[in-house]
Amino acid sequence: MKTAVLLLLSVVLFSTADDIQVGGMATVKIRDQHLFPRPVHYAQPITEVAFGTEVNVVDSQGAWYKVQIPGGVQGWLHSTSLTGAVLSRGSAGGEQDPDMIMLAGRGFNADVEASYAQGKDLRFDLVDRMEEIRTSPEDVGAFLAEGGLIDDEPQAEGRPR
Amino acid sequence: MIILLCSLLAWPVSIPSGITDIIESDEVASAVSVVQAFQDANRVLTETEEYYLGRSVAAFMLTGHEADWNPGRTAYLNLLGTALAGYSPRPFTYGGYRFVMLNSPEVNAMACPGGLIFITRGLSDLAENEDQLAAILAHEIAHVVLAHGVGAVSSAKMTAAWTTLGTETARHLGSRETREMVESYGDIVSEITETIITTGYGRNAERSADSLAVHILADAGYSPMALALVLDRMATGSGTQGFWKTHPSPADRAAWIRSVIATSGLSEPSAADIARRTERFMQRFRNAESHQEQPEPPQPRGEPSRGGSPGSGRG
Repeated sequence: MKTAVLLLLSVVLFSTADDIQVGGMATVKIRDQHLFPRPVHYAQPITEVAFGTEVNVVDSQGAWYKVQIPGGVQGWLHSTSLTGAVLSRGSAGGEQDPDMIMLAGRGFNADVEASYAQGKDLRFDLVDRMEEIRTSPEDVGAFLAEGGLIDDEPQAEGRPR
Repeated sequence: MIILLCSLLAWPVSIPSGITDIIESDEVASAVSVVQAFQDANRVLTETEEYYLGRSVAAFMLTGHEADWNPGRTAYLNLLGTALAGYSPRPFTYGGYRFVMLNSPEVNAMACPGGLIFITRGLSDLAENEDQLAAILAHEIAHVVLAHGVGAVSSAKMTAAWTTLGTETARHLGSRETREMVESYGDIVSEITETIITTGYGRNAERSADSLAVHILADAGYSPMALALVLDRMATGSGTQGFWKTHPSPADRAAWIRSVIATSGLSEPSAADIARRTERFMQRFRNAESHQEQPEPPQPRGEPSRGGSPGSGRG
């Protein structure tokens, strides 16, 4: 029941789900996103996929989509990592579709941040330092297993969300 | 009620069995209401825009507070937080979740849009074990998931931003569009920072965050009751700054959380599992002082503007 609550909120909150179709295309909207071998966030990733990568959606399970990335490798991405907007194909919402604005690099971006920061003694260098903290999915998996929160056995991990 | 909600939210998936009770429970209805408000208020803010706004809000936090960069404690905090975020409805954000402790005796925690999260030493000291620290982080993650930071921005400021974003066609610095965009950006950053530091999100948003937090905890296998236990400890203290200025009374929140847990039927982990996690919490977080400290570098330009309230330094 508790999983159903979070799945409901995931679908409602970040409803790229309603514009991503199995058999269609989608775009990765997360920086340094991992492609997972199973629909869980703590599995050792197959590879990384960059922001803006266009993928073919081949299957879905809960809030996760199985996708094929350029080169043919398949794996799982969470719905919150994807948008149905595809820059190379345009969007039904046109150029003012927010996700098309994002994929085109417009809107609030690094240039706006740089202009905003001018003349202010704000510690953006420490924000950069904070972003340098890296926590790998496999380390998260080991942490969860050590804490008795998941089973060590990979086949017992799968609680699709 | 289900039909109404599905119509409102255009739910694209079939209804899982047992969801009736969930949707009709008050706390989830409250959370869904906040979700709908999020969608209405932020329909043009993208993942990357939220990320950049969050970076600027975080810059205020890190200008006004000294961070604790102890590598062992920071690694532990980020393993715990990232693990929890993975069980939330928003496991991934554009820039990712990051967790840093601030060397402040104040009892407080701050969640910046996009997933940059701070917890003060004063608040972490109230956690007696890993499950209670997880509860604090889960509440902050819930604020990110529910977009309470950007959701607190006034409609007038958002409308100004929408107008600029909607007409923006160029990326040339110095253009009128860019100047207007930077002004809108600054206004929104100021309002979010003011909300986080001074005014708070309000009682309903805190309740929604608490409701979501206990579900995240339960789904991950942590104790949902741990959040109420931390608040019980807070209720024995008092103050006028930080947490006490921006949050409803801890006693009221603890009572709310207990009602959510009871009505949702959330179960507790075994005492043995909690004890197992407490051991590593003591070793890797509470007693992590023996690790080599990595001090903050000096500010790269000008003099550090330390010591003042981040909110008072808004430009």
